[in-house]
Amino acid sequence: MNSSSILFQHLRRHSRTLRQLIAAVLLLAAWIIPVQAQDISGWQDDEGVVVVVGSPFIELYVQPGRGYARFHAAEKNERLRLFKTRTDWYKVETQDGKIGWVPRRALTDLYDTEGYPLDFRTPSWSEAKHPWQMGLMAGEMDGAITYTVYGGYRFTPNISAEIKYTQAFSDTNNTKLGSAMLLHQPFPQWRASPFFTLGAGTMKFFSDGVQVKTADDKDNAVTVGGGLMFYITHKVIARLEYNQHTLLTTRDNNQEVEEWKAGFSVLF
Amino acid sequence: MESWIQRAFLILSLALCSAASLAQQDRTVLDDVISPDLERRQIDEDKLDSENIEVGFYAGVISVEDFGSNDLYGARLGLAITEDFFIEANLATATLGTTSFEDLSGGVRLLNDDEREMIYYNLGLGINLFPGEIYLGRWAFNNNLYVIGGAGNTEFADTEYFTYYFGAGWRLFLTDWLTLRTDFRNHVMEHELFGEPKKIQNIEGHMGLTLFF
Repeated sequence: MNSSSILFQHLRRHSRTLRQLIAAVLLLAAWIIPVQAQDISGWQDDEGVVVVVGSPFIELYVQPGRGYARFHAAEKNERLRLFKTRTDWYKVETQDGKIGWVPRRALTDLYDTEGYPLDFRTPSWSEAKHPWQMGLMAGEMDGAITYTVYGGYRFTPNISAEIKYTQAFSDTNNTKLGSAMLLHQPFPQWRASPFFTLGAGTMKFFSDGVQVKTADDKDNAVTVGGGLMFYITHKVIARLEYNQHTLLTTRDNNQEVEEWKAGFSVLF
Repeated sequence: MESWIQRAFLILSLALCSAASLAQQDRTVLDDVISPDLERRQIDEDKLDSENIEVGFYAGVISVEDFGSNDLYGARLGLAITEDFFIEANLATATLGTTSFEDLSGGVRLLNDDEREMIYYNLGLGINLFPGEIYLGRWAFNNNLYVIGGAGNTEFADTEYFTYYFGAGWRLFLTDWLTLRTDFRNHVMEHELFGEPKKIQNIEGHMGLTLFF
């Protein structure tokens, strides 16, 4: 008896079970497939978040900007898929496949697919939640023009750490200052929020190349300072700052340098 | 002594402020407990693809006053803050040519090869102007002009110079995330290479591609 006839006999013996099994699989498939097809049909892609329009209508713009043409309106109870953002604009797809941009301010009245209202207002300045901060400032240090690039991280509403790089250009030399700061905001809930800083760093002096070279100098510096932050939006801060650097020189006296600067930073 | 008192005072005020803020944090915890029970859900915005960071390379020509027009290669890193404003950092390098004096005088060299390597880096704020769509056949492309200005550092002749720049450019979006950038900028700095302080204007033109991600 060869192997194929064994299989045949085996199948005949169990044919009833087999038929029942096939029927069950078909039934299950018939139940699942239409549901899946319905799920897929709406969207070109399943990235992003699906929301339900709660306001009477939401207009779709062709590009992310307030002046661009509006080409479509999504109606109340229609579903939208949000999948991309640029600044305060969201790229959306309607269920009939139209793709356009919507400003965040138009997305105030949204529901999720289970009918719960969504919190999607434009955050006000007081909802500045992003912990990272990057900014630039320009100012004056002992008569020299300075600029500063800095990055920071906020640990608590009151305490942040910052790393700063400052370069000062006077007529005869350049000064570079790298420092690490601890920053304290006693009233983070105020829109114009004062702050105090304590920091330490290294200051290097370079004399201009063409003139007779003096020895390049390098001193450690301790810095106390303070200033005012003003929250323009929840992502942008204007900032005014005063620093007093104490240079720990090898000479008999430590040298004090005052610095004033103003600038802005972005939270992200 | 004076500065010691100043510091002690600062530390004391820091301590006071943090104590005050701790007390306030307690209050907000209580606020959360008795907040209204209407549930407003949050959207998980991490699921959305945010495209605010712009990265790219460019090539162009910079005319450095007295040192001729020279090829320039640079990189940029930007951040779109709002639909109107962006910030951008640039880093670029060029090799300076010879001055007319060096050419005419025969063998005189004012700078050696190392000193002719120019590097600049800067940070600036850009303002988008005149956004619109332009049409190529049946395709529409987003584009805008912008003005940009900032400050930074230029290094050549073994010295660093404070430099500010201002300029304008054009950004053409080929797709949502790929753009073609054209920029014209004037870099202004002051040097004393020829004895007297001299303010120089250095015009740069460049083109490049950027990616938004």
